[in-house]
Amino acid sequence: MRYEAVIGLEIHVQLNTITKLFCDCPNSPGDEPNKNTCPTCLWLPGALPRLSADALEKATLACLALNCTIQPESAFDQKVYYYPDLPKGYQLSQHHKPLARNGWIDIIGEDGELKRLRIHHVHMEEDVARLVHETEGKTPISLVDFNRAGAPLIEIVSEPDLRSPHDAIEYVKALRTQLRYTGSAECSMEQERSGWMQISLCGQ
Amino acid sequence: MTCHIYTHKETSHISSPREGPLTGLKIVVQPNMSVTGWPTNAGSRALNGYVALEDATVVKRLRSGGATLVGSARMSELGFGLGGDTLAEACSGDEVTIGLITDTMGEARIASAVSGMFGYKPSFGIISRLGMIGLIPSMESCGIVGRHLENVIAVAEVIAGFDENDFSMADEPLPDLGESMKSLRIPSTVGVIEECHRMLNESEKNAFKAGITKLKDKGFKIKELSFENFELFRAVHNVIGSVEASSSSGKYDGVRYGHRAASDKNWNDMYLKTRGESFGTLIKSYLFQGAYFQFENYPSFEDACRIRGGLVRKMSRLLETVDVIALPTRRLLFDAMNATTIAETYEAFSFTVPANVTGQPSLSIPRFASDSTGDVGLQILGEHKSDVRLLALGMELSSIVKGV
Repeated sequence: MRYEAVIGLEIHVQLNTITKLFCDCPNSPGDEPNKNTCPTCLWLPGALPRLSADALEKATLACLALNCTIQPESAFDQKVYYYPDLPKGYQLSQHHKPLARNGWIDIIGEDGELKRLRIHHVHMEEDVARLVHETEGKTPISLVDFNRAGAPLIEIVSEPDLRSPHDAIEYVKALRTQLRYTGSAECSMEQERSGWMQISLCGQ
Repeated sequence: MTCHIYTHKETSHISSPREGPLTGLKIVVQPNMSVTGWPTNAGSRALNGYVALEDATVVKRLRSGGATLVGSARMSELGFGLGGDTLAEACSGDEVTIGLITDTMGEARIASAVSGMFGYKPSFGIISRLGMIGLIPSMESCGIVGRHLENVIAVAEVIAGFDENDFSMADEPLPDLGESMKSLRIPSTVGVIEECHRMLNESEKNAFKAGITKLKDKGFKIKELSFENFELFRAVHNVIGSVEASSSSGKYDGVRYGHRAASDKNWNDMYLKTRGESFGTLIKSYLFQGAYFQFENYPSFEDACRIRGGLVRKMSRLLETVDVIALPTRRLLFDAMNATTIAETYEAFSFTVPANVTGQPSLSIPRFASDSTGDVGLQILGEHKSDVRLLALGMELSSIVKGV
């Protein structure tokens, strides 16, 4: 029996905005640890988030470049989980009402033909803090750097239209080309964020 | 005054408050309102030792209006209900003119009704929440209580209005309370909800009726309204409120501030122990409820959100047929100050939660709906952002009380 891979990708892209997604701190995660922080991105009690218009515009441009339909109404949800890189206990993300849906992007398939890969939706979310694990003498210690906390991300969720590693590579290259062209993201490897790959195998 | 009432008493400010519309007014807040340098523990061990880094927007505006901040009173844990709250007590003496108390389920109105004061919960989104350590973001407003309604209005005028740092605020400016009040038609048709009446016991009914009779005597038109399933307000507040509370309180992990439990195992064990030790019984069971709806029964939360929309629409429709709706503020049968369970708490707040669920403004007037057995408080509720009209009606009714 032969198997065919059925692949869907969820890719995080960091937007190249001047500020973070919900505060005026510089969006510059590489700086000296915890330099770019304020009560909002440190998530201190009493602080409130305020959506950056710049981030919304850049995310929208990115969605348009991926042929998505911008939704007339989108909203943020509190995605609850507990982990030391997320000290406020929830991530602001768009679960129910994403910014854009139903996009597509064309690649050249392995057979040399044009192949259209569908995008299920694109949503905005904030990045979490960065954990640094070190040792101090013989004691292992963990440090938290909040420079990245609250940095604007978009998550691009594809339909399971990819069938091979070739498709996956071409898809990522095509995304990068489009996003760089719009000027919404650098898509450099240093800024590469985690992504999810879902692979199912179908018997033929 | 003793520490029994205050968690913090300011000693340095008295020197020279600025000249302004609030000069001479002395204000007490709760320890969930950020005042630079003041302990801000929101009544919980989870925030033990936490000190505010900057003034809340409301506090900045009070200061520039010339008000004097006297201190902060004791509050219920994270502001859920009124257990252990001493704000009303602080306001009852001569030392304080106005108290600011977060109204999450009716705290401002009930605390004032219990102690013979006016309690005002503004429309959602007209007073900034920046710097207020909240619990249920979609339900809570900065409430204002005081013995004289004129003072409550003066403070509202100074602290209300757009704050670009609070995303939930309305964009359009608020009308000038004092000016527009002069030229206003005082509301004249008051609706009463039949289903609420049925929830009252005999003495509560009599006290409320006494208030309605006073209104009739003064020429107000009383209209009977029906609100089927009125008790859904409580259920909806409970489900959505506990979910939001659970999400808002996720940050209390003891790592950067507040109580931290000793644990030599791992971070997860430390979180669990810290949270186990930090929260009191009442709020803990509320947070459990919220976690249950979030993780085990999400459809019920979604139902509650849908039903909330229906309740808001229904209330607005009723308010198209009358100027305001009158409700009792509190139950005599259930003591909000001493409620120890969630069920008891919601019983005590039965008639105040609707305004938190809908975001509408509401004002509790003392000595109006009262007879020899007690004062249930006359609570008037108006359409969203009709605060000016509501307060104008309050002034009219308070002059009736004075005249009696």
